[in-house]
Amino acid sequence: MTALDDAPPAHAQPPAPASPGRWLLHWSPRLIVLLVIVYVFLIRMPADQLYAPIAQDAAIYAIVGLSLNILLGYTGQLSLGHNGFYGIGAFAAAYALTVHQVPFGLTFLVAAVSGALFALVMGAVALRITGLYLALITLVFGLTLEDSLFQIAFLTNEGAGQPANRPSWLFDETTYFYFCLAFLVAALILDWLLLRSKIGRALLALKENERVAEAFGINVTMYKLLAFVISGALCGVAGALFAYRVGLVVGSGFGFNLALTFVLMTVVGGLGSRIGVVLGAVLFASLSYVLEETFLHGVNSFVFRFQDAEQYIVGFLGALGLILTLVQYPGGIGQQIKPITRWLGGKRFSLHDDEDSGPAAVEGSSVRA
Amino acid sequence: MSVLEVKDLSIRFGGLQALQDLTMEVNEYEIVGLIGPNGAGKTTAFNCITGFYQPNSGHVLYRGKDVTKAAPHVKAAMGFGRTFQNVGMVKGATALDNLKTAQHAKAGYDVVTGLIGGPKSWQGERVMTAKAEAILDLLGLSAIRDKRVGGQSYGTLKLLELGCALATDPDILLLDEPTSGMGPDESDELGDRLLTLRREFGLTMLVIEHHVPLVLRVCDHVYVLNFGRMLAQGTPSEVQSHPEVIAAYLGGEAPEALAATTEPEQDAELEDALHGEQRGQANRPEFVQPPAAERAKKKTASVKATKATKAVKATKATKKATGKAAPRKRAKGGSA
Repeated sequence: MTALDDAPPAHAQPPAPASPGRWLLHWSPRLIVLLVIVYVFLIRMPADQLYAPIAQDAAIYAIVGLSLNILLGYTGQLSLGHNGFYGIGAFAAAYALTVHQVPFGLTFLVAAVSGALFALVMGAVALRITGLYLALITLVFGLTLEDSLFQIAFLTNEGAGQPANRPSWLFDETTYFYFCLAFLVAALILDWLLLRSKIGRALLALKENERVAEAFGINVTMYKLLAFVISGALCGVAGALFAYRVGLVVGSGFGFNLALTFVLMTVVGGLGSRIGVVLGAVLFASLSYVLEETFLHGVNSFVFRFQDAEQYIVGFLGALGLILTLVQYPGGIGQQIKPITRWLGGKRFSLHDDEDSGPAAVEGSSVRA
Repeated sequence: MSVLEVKDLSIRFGGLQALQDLTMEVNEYEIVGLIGPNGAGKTTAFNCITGFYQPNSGHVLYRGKDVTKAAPHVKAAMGFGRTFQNVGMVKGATALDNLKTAQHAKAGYDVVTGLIGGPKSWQGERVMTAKAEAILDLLGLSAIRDKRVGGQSYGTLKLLELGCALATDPDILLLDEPTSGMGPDESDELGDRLLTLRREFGLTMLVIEHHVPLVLRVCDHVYVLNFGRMLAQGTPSEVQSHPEVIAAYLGGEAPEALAATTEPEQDAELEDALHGEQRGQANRPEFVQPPAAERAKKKTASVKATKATKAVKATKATKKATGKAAPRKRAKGGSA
């Protein structure tokens, strides 16, 4: 096909606005908004030792959300077993560090590899089963791990929990938040690279139609497994971060509720939308804390007392968000904040979608199990 | 050597013998038509050839190599480009991304490089984008470059799908009803396009098609399937006047249809036995070398003219026949 290779590219981008004054006028409000967001959420709030752990949770959840998004958003495979990978990552890191004295940095590699290995097993199952049955299998996978592997004596330190002490330079909660944030940024970069490469296109293609993907020369089996492996590795790393955040890994902390939270925050955040998934994770990580504050210091004191109200409310809000997402906004938070992200990206502010382009444009059907 | 050879291909779905001992041959630089009534097994044959179905018996040879068992993605990388009966594309992605997805096997970098990023993958992406844009340009679809494929009209989709098949850098192109959903004018245009593509890229094609004028115009050789069996083969005009073909399309023996044809009765199989050797030589020389494009153009022009008149005749003939014999007997055939 030499004739095609020689042809000049048909589309050149139109040149940017010329005069520097205009340029400044165009970009400065956007820059200011961005700086304010960064200052408030990434500098001011984590500086408080009280808020920093919540911020850590948010960053860790965001990594899990990105990991689940690769599977659910790009590849179209539902996993209700991510609590399993998360737990495996946490235990592997803690076990390697405390029992085998593996260097701190390497424990993340251990966590990633163990997460990836277990994900590979689950992926092998997913090759044969789809839809609702896959959801059930992954659910059982997570539950089984919780009841078996996470109860093994040597892993859980005879049931007392495996200690995972972070090194002294990370004792400070704020510092540890930035440590988690660095991992989140790395995960975002990985996700970006993945989506814009042939891997991302292959995953999106096989999600929509496996036969078409095959006709395009895509090895569907291999790419499905690859999606599981990448997702499992990311989730394992997030688990390791979680282990060092709490300092003691206990088997009972990785139940089905966690898997459900992961799926909820990813779907409500917006499948296929990077920013949406991160925001969904932030929302779900901070929700219980925000509600607790509200009910302890606000409503409860002068209206009437709910016992553990925030626990119910979190579930209620999660369900509400899911219903709203499924019925009204299949793109989740990512779709709803589109006008803002578009504006920040340098376009005019408008509420309706003029360009329905984008590699990960989500359709309602993609939410199906 | 023939590009594609199908030998005694048989496949059975439960109680249905979808294909029975199908034998075909597609030579270099040939456009071969595969026609037959609905449910004759044309698409099944495509699926067996491209690896989507595993035949119960028989072989598929690609340039002399047995590739019967190869998986679809392997065959795609090998040089089998195909389109689907109802458009096969990633509807959620843009036209450009579809064309880049189709170049997957020729991306020029491996999975790990893609994940880590690096000059090699960027270079690969640039090359793919350039090629995708060139294809869009070639098909006159540059306007929908960044539009999602899902919202486009059916004719546009069929054309873009052809582009995707081209983007896989095929050696042999298998087109499943490329004109479905197109009007007569668009179908005509597509015929020109197929001939141009063959000339420019030296492509070999196997085409499932219902649109008779197009088959008459572009195909060098035609195979006719009915109930999973080969009914007839030969040049388009031979096949067109073949009594069994007419019967299969119109139902029954169709004596009126036979009477209606102006051309003398011919037995295509006999014809093929007589001229089988010639088919390889006499029929093709003007197309064999792309440098001979100028000559070929002239010839195709003249051939086009004669064939067009023939086509008109043919459609008239079939129309006559349809009017007389078709409705009643087709209904019978449908219930059987």
